[in-house]
Amino acid sequence: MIQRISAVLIATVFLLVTIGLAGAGSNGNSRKGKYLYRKTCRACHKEGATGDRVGKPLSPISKTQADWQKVFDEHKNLPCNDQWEKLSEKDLKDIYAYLYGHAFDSPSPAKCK
Amino acid sequence: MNQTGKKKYAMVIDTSKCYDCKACMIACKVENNVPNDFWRNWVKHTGRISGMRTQFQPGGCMQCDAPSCVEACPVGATYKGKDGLVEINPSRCIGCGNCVTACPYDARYLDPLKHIADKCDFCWHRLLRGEEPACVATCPTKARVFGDLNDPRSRVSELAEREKLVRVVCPSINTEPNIYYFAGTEPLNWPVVPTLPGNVHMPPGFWKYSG
Amino acid sequence: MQANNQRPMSRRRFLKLSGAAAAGTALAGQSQVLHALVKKRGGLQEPQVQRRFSVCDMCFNKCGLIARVEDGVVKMLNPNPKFPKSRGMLCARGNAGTKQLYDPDRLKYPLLRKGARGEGKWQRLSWDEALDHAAEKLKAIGDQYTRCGVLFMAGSDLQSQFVHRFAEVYGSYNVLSHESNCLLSRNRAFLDTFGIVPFPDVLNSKYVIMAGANRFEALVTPDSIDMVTAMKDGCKLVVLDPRFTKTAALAHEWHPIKPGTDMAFFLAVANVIVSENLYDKNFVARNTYGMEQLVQHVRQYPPEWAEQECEIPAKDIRRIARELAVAAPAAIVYPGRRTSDYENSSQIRRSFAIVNALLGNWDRPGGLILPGKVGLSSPGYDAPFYEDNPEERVDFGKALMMFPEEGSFKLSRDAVIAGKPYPVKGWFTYKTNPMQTGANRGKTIEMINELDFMLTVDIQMSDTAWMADLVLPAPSYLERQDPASGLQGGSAGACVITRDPVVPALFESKPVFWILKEIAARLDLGEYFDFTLGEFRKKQLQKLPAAAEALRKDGVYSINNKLYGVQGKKPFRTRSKKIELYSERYKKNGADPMPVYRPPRTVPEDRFRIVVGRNAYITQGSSTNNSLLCQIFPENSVWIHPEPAETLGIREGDEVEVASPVGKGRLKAHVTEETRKDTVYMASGFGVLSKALKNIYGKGACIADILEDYDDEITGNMAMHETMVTVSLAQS
Repeated sequence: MIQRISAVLIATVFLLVTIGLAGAGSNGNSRKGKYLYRKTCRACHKEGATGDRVGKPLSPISKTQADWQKVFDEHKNLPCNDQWEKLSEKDLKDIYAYLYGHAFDSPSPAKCK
Repeated sequence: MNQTGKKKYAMVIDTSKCYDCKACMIACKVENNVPNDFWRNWVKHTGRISGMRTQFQPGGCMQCDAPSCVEACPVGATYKGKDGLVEINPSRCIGCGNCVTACPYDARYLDPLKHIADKCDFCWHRLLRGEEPACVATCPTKARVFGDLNDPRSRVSELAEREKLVRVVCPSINTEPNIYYFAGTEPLNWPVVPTLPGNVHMPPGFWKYSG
Repeated sequence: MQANNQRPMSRRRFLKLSGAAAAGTALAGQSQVLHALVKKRGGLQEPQVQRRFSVCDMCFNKCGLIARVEDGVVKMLNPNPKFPKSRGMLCARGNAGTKQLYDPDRLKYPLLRKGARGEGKWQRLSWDEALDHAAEKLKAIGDQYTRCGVLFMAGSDLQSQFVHRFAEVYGSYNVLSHESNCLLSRNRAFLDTFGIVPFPDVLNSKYVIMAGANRFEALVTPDSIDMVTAMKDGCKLVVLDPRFTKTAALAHEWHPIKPGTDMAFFLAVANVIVSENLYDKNFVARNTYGMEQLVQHVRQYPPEWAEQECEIPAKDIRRIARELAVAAPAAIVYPGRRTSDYENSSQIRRSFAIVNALLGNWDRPGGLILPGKVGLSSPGYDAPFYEDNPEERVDFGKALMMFPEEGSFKLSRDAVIAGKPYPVKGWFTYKTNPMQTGANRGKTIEMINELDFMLTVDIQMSDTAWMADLVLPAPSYLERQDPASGLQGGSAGACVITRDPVVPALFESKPVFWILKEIAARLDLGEYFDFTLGEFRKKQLQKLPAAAEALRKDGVYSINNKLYGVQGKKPFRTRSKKIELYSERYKKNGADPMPVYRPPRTVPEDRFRIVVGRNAYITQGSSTNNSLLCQIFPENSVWIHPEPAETLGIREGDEVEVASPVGKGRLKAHVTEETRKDTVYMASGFGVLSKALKNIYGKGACIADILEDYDDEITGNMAMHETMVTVSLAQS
């Protein structure tokens, strides 16, 4: 019985977290996130980027919500993790809110202009 | 400019393609600088809610082969002219208005500024430039087809060959119009009986359809 | 500025033209304006003729045109035969474009309001004064109320993207377009079902149902044209509409459906398709999510039930469902465009989308096809972030699933009036006319009265401009350079369009791009507009090497995108990666995961439901004053059925008053069987407040005065068919 309750609890907590992240403003600030993304990530991740470090061109719409979640869960493995480490917890949440909220399969898919 | 012989300009209209957007009417007004509240062409239609499909029927001066307007002109200002067109000589026209009431299609008007009769001339100035009449060029569904009936390769001749075409004539008089309609698209019996001034001599046979 | 493509006439054609005595004879009265505006060449010299490409802007369709310019005067707009989307046509409005250009009622120089709002007293300003004033006001509002204290609203226009750019760098999230008074509900429904808003391949279809769409009057290219061609090829057209529109008049079947019940019809169609196993089983199994739930769900909606709701006989619903299935996949439930009609419009359109899914018409000839990839580059910029700004839009969270970049005019207006969640004190509008198109005009006026500053950029003194503090004159589409833009043409394929001036801008009119650039410079935001339109366009076209030449040569660059089989095995852009018959996301956001039928408001005995809609001669409030179009459609009237008209003692042409709980209007009655007994209809664009619209001032009534402002609960889109009105003989 206790086992079942905790399973339900875990599921509920998971659901809450997911919903929380998906809703712009409720956790991360998607609009701030857009600004931070442009400032921090876009230089390397835009079309025709030049310089020492050139990443794959990215926009929120380049990945699904699940993929963005995976990127954030596993950013330690990314070649640009050193840049990630410079961002605060709050900044990361904001960027996440932006990318997740406008992902390929989101209700309002968007490109980064 | 006509090397292949005489032209006979005509229009063939597939009324089943018309949805009464009136693009032809505005195009004509702009191209020909038609004065406010006068029109050189129109879109007529059948009664609406009748259980039958509504037909919209575009038209204009029919450039008739037996034109009552020409007969009604006391000074010979309007005449059957080049390439099958019914023409008006503005310098001869006295603005009496006889031709306006003589037309069974109500295709003519007295220009309030120039004080002479005016009507559609199939955009003669455009034809000279190698362009189609404005109403034909702009038509969204290309319901209006224009061309030379004397040229067997023209679209109008092709349609005349292939389709069963009809002409809209008033019951009392057949002026032998040169706008043709696809059969089965229900052209309306709307033309009016022309009224001619009493002092105009009409040749015998003019009222050939009158009882 | 780069000159428009010029094609000087050949010597030979020039000579030919000389022979035409009729050419060039202009009437004194008609051409007064022209004479006043351009330098006339002396003598009887033949005119210098040029043909210049442009793209029409008399409505949103953007059809291709070739302007004939004689001695610097635009004489005629001819269709561009190489333009695939418009298939070489222009409509009545397109042909009347010269009268927008040479309209004596055009705005000519910057105007500052002097008297009370709407009083019509203005002071002429120089551009410097006007721009300084605008910048000063925008700065003051930003400082006092945060940058989100200014609301921006731009209509459908190639330069509207610069209004969005300006709003973003200025720092406001409160940006609206015309869309929340128009098509958001359709977009929401199809996006949430298919992951993308598709285009109907009308041309190749064998069966089309149009419900609440009037393609032979509210023209959409190429759909309106293609519908005729398809019908000539044997396509069947079924129209559901409370009015006998011209689309209904030409359809094979017209069903005068009870307004607001379209969902009942389509749920019953789904019921028949499912219960008789008429759907494309392979397609549904492979590509859809939630079929089991849908099967259960539609069981409660048999045609016999639907008949009671929508007043279309059950046998017809059943037959139509079967006919659709036989014609599938070349069969379409037409998605429609303006869907700002009911409080559950998104769900109504979801039911359309779901039937399409069952027909398996996705990505196939005669079905729903995907927009083409255009490949324009969008020059990026790094907008600043203003830390003192509120977190969200002023209308945030007021609809279940609002588009965050579109918002809702109605909900934003409510928020401005309430001053909550935060004050909005500035309004910038460009080429949109919410005073005419936003239901409940009283509230729009109330909103405007809350503002410290309202700036309107437009071609003419629209009702919205009439209420503004500062009015700035914009050039018409024939006088300006525009950025490039991708244009979707459904089965005509996607293309790239642009505009260059056909003639130089008249008066002191300036394009909104220039206006924004100048204001930005005054607000220390100049770096975000540090380019010319020519440079911008060059960047846009950098990955399309052939585009510039094609635009120069043909006036259009066709993409020739693949039309069918584009989706292939790629996942759908939805949560489940499939077509969502059942939407978990809707459930999560508090909306029905599948459309649940709710009957529309009942119409009381002594009242009528009022519906609105376009005809082919008007573009809402923007073209009714056109001196040619107003000869076809000089004023609007209210359509009323002869039976109730007789009871009310109303005859054809009588002056009547149409009144709702929020307002009223006086106009002529059109007594006709072409509307249901319980439904009256009015066209938009009349009953103007602006005395500067001389051709139509004092004529007809304004829909926005009469309509109540309900909204679609999912998107916040305006719901304009929810108002009940009385109609009575006007007291003189």
